[in-house]
Amino acid sequence: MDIAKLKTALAGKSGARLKLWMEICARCGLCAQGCHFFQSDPIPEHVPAYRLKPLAELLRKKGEVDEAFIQWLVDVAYGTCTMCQRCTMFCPHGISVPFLVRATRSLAVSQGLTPKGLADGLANALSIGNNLGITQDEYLETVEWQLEELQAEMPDAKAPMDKKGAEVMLTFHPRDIKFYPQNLYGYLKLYNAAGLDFTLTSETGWDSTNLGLFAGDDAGATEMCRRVVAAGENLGVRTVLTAE
Amino acid sequence: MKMWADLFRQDRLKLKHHFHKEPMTFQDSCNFIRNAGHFEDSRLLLDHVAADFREMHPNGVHTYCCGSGGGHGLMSEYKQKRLATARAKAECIRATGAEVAVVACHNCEDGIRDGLKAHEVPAAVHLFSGYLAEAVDLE
Repeated sequence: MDIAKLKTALAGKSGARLKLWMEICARCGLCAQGCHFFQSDPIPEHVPAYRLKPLAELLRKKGEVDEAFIQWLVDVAYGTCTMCQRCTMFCPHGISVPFLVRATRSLAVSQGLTPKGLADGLANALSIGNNLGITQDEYLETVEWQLEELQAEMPDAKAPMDKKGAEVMLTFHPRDIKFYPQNLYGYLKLYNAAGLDFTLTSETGWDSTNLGLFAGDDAGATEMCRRVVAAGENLGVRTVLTAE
Repeated sequence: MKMWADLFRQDRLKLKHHFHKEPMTFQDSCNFIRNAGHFEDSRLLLDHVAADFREMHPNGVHTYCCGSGGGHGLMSEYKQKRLATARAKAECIRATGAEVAVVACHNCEDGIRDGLKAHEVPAAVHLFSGYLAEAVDLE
């Protein structure tokens, strides 16, 4: 492991909000009733406040920890929290545990220890353009195919690709393209039926999922976001729509 | 979801009233409902297209996570824990007696489907877009 990188990442995350919340959490445990992990399996490790422990110890030890510690941190930060924000509503101080969990995850990222499934998905997204490794041709063919299906029901249906100046740009989840193309049918049907001035984009920004955000990988998350914004700006649309 | 509700309010998106007859419930997702605040938008659409809409408890901003948020859909390392902790949500759905759980989030779609299966709740899972698309009035 790389202690220097860990310390840099820790320093980068140690803003006022993080410090305040770490300080004021009284470990009162009211958050427990907010958490579906605890509701389903009531063990101390499933109390949301427990998820602050790795970060608290790291701050106390100023980053001087060993590999076993980081593995524990990974299991707590990725394995016991879906960052759903429900516990925040039960906290007397309104502490955002997901915010602190995401900061903790970014420390694992600094050590290259993002859990494999997430890391692979993000790597795919960054290198190929989407987390399922769909090629440009597959994407365009799937759109064409679902449009033809829809035209059997709505003869005038359209799926404009790269239409400059459209009001709205549609983006998708890669699984809509790869595993559930009928979802695409649903979206196209809704927007055609409403007569919306929309367009699709052939740029990689058609995928608006962001595994970087889940992983706690800020650089990756920023890049995924940038692609969607760039695609929208290139077409001059006023609104970008995500799938649902 | 906001766009669909806006188009519906403007009378541009026409949906058949109470098109779906079977008892259904709706998964309030952490992102769209708790954090983005589209509760009213979702109810406007659901009350119109579903004849037998049964609320889960808790619902709205107090909704339980489907279990698949925060990247859990992709982390096989923690899959058993994810399925075990999907119990909270699965029991909410069972209590409604709904035959269909409508979800407006791709993470929820997997989370709910896996959770219902793991906890043996006999309900189908439909994506909101498809559920609405079926009810579109093309006349």
